[in-house]
Amino acid sequence: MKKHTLDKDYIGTFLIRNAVSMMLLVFVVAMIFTKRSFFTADNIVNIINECSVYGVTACAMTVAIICAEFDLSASSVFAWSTVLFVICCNAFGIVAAFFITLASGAVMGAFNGILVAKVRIPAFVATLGTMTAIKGLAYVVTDAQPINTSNETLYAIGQFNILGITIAPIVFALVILIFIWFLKYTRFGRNIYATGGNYEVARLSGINVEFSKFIIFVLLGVCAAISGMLYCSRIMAGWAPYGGDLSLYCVAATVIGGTSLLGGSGGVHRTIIGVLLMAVLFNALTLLGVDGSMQKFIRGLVLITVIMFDAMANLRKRV
Amino acid sequence: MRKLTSKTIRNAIRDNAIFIVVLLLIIITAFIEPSFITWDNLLNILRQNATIGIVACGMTYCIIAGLFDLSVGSIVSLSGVIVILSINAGVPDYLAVGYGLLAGIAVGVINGTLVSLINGRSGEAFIITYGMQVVVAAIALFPSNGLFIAGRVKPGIFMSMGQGMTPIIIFLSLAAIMQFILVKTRYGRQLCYIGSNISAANMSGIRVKPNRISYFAISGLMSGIAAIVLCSRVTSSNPTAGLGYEMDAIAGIVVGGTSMSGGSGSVFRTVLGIIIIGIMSNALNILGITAYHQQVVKGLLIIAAVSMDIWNKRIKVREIANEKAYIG
Repeated sequence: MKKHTLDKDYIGTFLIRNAVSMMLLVFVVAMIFTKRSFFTADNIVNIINECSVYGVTACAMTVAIICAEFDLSASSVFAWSTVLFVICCNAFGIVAAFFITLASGAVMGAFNGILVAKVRIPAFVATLGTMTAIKGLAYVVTDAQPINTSNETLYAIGQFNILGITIAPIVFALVILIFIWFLKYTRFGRNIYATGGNYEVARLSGINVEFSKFIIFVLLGVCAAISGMLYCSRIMAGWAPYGGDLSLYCVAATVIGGTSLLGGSGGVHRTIIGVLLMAVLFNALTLLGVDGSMQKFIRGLVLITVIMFDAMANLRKRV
Repeated sequence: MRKLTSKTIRNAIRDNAIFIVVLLLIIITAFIEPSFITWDNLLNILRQNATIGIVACGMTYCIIAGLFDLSVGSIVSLSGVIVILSINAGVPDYLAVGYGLLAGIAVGVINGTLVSLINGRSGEAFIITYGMQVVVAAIALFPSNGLFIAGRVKPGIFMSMGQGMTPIIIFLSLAAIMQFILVKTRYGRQLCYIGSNISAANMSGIRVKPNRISYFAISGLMSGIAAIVLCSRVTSSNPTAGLGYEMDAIAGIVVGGTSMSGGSGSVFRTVLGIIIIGIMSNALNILGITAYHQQVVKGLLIIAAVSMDIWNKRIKVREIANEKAYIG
């Protein structure tokens, strides 16, 4: 078996596929040498805490992209979960709130899953609809006001840390391990790769493709709910506009990590790098004093660049 | 001549289910609030939805071509900011309007070039224009740091564009022109062909890439026109004015009945869809339902309309298969 012969084509494709992550690495190295406050233990811990909240959803988005699907509604499920979690915390206590929020995330994911897998609406149209509807629901329930909670257990969880590492990175690490096991060692996980690689072939070889498509949306809903709850534990509040560009962030992190939008390849372990690089980039921009709208601009630009490079690498592969 | 059998009636109901639901809503609202069906209110609905209608007409071309343009809302914001800023800087009206339109076309061309460069289908177009939406929205925020800009507008061409009946006339005449181009010109027929099968279109000698860039450019241009009508109506510009326009436009298109899978559709249907949504939200307003509830309704409406379209197609395919089996 030939393994990675270093011919010109292979190097070219490798360079294109990893261009963005390399550019970001160069940027990070430059930051380490120019900005003293960037490469300190405090800031690194801060970056890790920061990125883990969104990272949980990014992992689930990676699974969806491996299955050649895509979910816009993750940001709305996130916002809805912060709202629901805080309301339930105030009403029934934190344990019930946890399970209710998790269940609501799963139900919303399942709704997306039915639309895409059974009704066969293209994922982006279906999730565009659910995105609007769920966001509207969060606004309706809260009347567009932020809701606070003073639940002591939640506060204790939010403040809990080991050497500065809070609960979020621990959950993130657990989610990554579960997903790696799920994708690599379970039948459902392998089926997701097969379904994403070639839907028709997977169907004809007897894989329950509809179930594969369904389950990824349920996982996404659950993970977005977990992200929302982690976010709540830090800021003790729920509000409908939270998580505005979560979906965009997750897609960008996944593709920077090296999971192709074509589907059928990639893995959750790669997304860790993507999530970290995105977090480092925006942390560095904040340290450099770049303002909000400029950061938004750069966020969009990073997404476009990443997608373009990924698609060009795929074009080379196709030919 | 189609015979009026139970089957054709059933088909007609199935094809127009959304229209029937809205008709019911209109009747209910008219009973509760008779002022709902007055000529003034209807004109008002048209005027309110003219800007979104213009955007939706442009996006219809993209959807028919099997593409997507999510950046339209941001283009509306950006063009508005540019027009008002140039008018405040003392640029003559027609030039300021020209700058606004140019900005729209420029963003459209960038969209189209990026998508053509990677031979993108609707999925790639969706994500790239999503990125462009964020980028362009950020650019619109730069000049005023996100603040609202009041325009020092003097009476003239620009000011007249948003007053009285003009927005309605602009909307309907643009829609008519675009429908004519779509149905009666070679360019329009090529658009449908590219949308239904891009490889076949490419092999039969249609120059796919420049055509696809032009669809994005048209979508950008129409967003620019919408921005001008909007800014002229309020004689100011808000850098987040176009927020959510893409959703409303897509809602209008799918409710009108243009298929999301591309290859077919019409601008007239989009106009109809926009009017239906306008009437619906007007009726919901009269019934005292808040904007946030309406957002939920709109999201579900998109899902319902697309599901219906896909379901209808599946039934039709099955019927054709049955007839063939019967003959064979």
